[in-house]
Amino acid sequence: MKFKVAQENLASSLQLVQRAAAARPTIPILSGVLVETSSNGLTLTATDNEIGIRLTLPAMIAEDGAFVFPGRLGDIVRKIPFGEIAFEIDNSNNTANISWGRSRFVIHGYSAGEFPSLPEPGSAPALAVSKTDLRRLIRQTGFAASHDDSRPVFTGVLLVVAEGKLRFVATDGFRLALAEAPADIPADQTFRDVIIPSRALAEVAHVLGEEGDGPVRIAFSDNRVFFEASHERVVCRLIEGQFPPYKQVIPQSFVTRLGCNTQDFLSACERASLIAHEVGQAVKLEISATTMVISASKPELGNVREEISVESQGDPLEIAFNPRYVIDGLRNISAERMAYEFTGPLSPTCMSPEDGKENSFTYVVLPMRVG
Amino acid sequence: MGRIVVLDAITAGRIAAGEVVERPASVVKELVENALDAGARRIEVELEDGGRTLIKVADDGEGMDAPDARLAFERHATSKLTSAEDLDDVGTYGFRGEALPSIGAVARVRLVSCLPEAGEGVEVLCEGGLVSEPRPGPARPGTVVWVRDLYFNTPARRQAMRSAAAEVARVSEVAGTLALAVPGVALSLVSEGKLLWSTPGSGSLEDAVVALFGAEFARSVIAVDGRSGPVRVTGLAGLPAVARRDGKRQYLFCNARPINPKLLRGAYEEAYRTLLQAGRTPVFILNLSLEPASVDVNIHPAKTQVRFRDHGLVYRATLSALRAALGRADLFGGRLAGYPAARETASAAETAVPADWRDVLGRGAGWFGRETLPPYAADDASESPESRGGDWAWPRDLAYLGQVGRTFLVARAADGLYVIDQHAAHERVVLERLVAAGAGEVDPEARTDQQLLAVPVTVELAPGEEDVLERSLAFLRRVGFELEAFGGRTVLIRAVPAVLSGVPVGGLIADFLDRLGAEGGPGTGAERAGAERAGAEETGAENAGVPGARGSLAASFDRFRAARVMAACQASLKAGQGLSEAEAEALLGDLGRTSEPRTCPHGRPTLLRIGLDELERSFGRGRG
Ligand SMILES: Nc1ncnc2c1ncn2[C@@H]1O[C@H](COP(=O)(O)OP(=O)(O)OP(=O)(O)O)[C@@H](O)[C@H]1O
Ligand SMILES: [Mg+2]
Ligand SMILES: [Zn+2]
Repeated sequence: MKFKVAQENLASSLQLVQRAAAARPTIPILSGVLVETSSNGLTLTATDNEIGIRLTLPAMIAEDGAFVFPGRLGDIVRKIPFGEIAFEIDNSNNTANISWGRSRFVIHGYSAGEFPSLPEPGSAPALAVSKTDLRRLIRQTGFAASHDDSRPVFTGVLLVVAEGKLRFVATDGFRLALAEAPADIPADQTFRDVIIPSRALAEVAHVLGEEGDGPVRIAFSDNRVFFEASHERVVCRLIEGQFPPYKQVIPQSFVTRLGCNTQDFLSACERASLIAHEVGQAVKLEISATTMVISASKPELGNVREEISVESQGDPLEIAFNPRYVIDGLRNISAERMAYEFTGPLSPTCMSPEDGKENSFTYVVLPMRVG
Repeated sequence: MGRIVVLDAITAGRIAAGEVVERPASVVKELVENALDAGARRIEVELEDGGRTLIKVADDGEGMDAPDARLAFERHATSKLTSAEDLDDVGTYGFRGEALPSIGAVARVRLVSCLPEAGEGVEVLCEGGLVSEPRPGPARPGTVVWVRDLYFNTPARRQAMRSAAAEVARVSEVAGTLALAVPGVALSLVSEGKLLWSTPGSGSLEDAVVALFGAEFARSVIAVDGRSGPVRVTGLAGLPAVARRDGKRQYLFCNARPINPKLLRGAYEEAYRTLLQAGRTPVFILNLSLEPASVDVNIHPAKTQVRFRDHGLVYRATLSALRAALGRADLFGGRLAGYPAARETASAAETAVPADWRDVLGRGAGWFGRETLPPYAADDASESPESRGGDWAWPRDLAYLGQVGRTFLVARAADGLYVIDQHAAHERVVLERLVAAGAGEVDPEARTDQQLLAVPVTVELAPGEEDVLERSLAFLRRVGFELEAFGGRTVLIRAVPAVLSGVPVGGLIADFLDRLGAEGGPGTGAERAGAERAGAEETGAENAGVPGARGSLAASFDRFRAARVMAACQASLKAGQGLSEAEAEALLGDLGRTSEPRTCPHGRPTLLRIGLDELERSFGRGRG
């Protein structure tokens, strides 16, 4: 195998793909990166058998082949100056000759045949969603998943395909986030609900990057999900188990509903949380027809009381929250105005963008009982 | 007739002697105590064949005249008590007048004594209980006792003696303990003509510790000195790094009288709670100074069982003195190498023969693991133990620098560089929140804030746990859980104490019930488990956990705390998690606000400080 590749392309691709490589591999080869030539250039693959990432990048291929570089390749390439790097692999003794300018580097690797093959989606049912929407779905739900490995389903995000939309749901038991986006769903396919580790979705978001749009194909096999874009693929194992009945958690009616400027509410909560900064301390909301008072107090620290304008319907209400949970929700509403629905001082509340339809995001959080 | 009476008396003596003189070590203990009571400044103990053939104790104390020397072997002859009321007020080691007659009953004893200014001494022999008439002896001020052929007339006891090495080890422990009790007295131990150790008698406990355990060990202890009312607690306490798995090196004295350290087990366990890893016991040498009138010493012939008039007072004094000392100490400062967690845990567990023993059996050094020293070579060993622990407080100016290996946080402060284990730090933060939540236990009226759950948590009970749940429902509710039994063996948790926001409560409750169900869960001593059972029985099933049922409530609370330590661990960040700068800073801030930022609830260190001086030393830079 022989190829030339731009240092900056290879360095950034390696950095992404290596996130899937095993940090403490059971077999050393799992910490490596499989490099293959293809018609589009180079394909880089890394996997720890839970998650796999494959990227393609442009390269000048002089001779086809495949080789597994050790994990250190990333470090080496990062230190090579900007410009073209030439690779020549000697498969007979598993060494790679890396040269640039007047320098040369030889490293040992593994034969490609020993690398676990990344599963293929095959004919598994698949749908398509835009990169922009997928990024938002991940961002708006991933934070609400739990880190508690003792209840695996809570560490995942539920993917539901329904009514022409792709829905992501996550909960750690304390709050629940739901986001939806339009998707291209083949009419003749059926999709079952699956649970994807939130860690894997974080990798998907990473691989997709901040910029650019285009379709992402999501395919669901029996025990895996595949995210495929033009140059990227992320494969991960699904979490087995029964996701909690999330629909029951989302209130269907309200006794009080308010609309207000999202940023005003968020800033007031953030300031209040400086007083109620320890877990277990509450921020109080007092809602009347046109105002909402946000307050918190801590004897040894001081107290804060802020009033913002709201338009509210229904009964006046006093309710207490863990400010962190409210802030988490508000930060995920990019719309200028948000809507907040309450079903009573000790029952579920539900926030969303006021024009909920387009950028559908629903966040359920339960209040605190204080005093 | 007369002969039989005499024989009976001798037999009786032998039987009673068994109580006092169980083995060579008890002989040494009695003789050294006598020397101390006689005001000796220097005491030399010599053994041959582990004390079987010879135990010799020489002192430079006040000595005896001829009549006293004769009387010393009479049962209940003692110069130390004059009336029965005096028993209340014992300030000497001896008070029964039983030791010498008991020893004399089972060995061939020769006692030589002389008053300081007298031109002539006295010699008394006692063989198998038969005492000779006093004869003139050498004019050597003080007293020397030779005990030969121990148990020559009681074959069963003679056979029960262990190997010479084992007996030497016992003697060394007993004599070493006394040496620590009286650092102002120079005590030495010689076996087979070889000096095993000798304390300088300088009056400093540190010097005695150096002499017995070595300078390295002495660097790992901190000074304790606290007073609560009439109780003063002084001595040395080991840093977590020298905590042991074998329960050894715990010395407790009451007015310089060795007493069973377990007597204050509650106090030292509480003081070291969360500072030590599971299965480790702290090391300490503590003396309680209190009015002799408030201690009762006549409980057991071995005299290690004392009873305090006000145990609670002594307990609190010990706890607060230890806490104060540990609170000031830089527990894990300095080099990582100083902390044994990784290096030593495994090897210590694997070592069947304690290092102390190996010394005795192998190289012939003392039981205390010291190399042999020339006689009374105090100067050799007295290199003063430098900085031990030193004072430390959470640095106000701690500034976060970055994360290493997704596991450690690095920060800097004026006093050096800090490396923080983020998992351990988070555990500590979570634990304190939980403990604060449970503080409601003290005030039955206080209502804990609750966080309602979006998705109720279900806990499946193990068969037989229904009953345990039933008993603890009221308690759990008051701590802030809202739960209901839900058909058969399922419990539904709808709300949790507010401080448990974000904590996996299912595992917590399951664990709690497990522990409550099991007899004597981990971390609770056998006695305590017994007390809990007793408490549960006496309060009856329905009231356990209600404010009135103090005993069992406190007991379940203690268990609950254990469960929460577990939960804190589960809830904590796993090592290997990336933290944003804001998260890392928040974690450091939270850690700084905890009462014990230096260890996680399991006693592993949360932080490592590389002091400026350490850095300077490492780089070969002197000060200035
Ligand atoms: N080394 C010594 N120097 C001076 N007097 C001694 C010494 N050993 C013993 N005596 C005297 O002999 C007496 C008897 O000693 P013995 O050890 O039998 O009894 P005790 O010390 O009074 O009480 P106990 O039985 O509790 O030890 C002591 O009270 C003391 O007066
Ligand atoms: Mg005595
Ligand atoms: Zn821990």
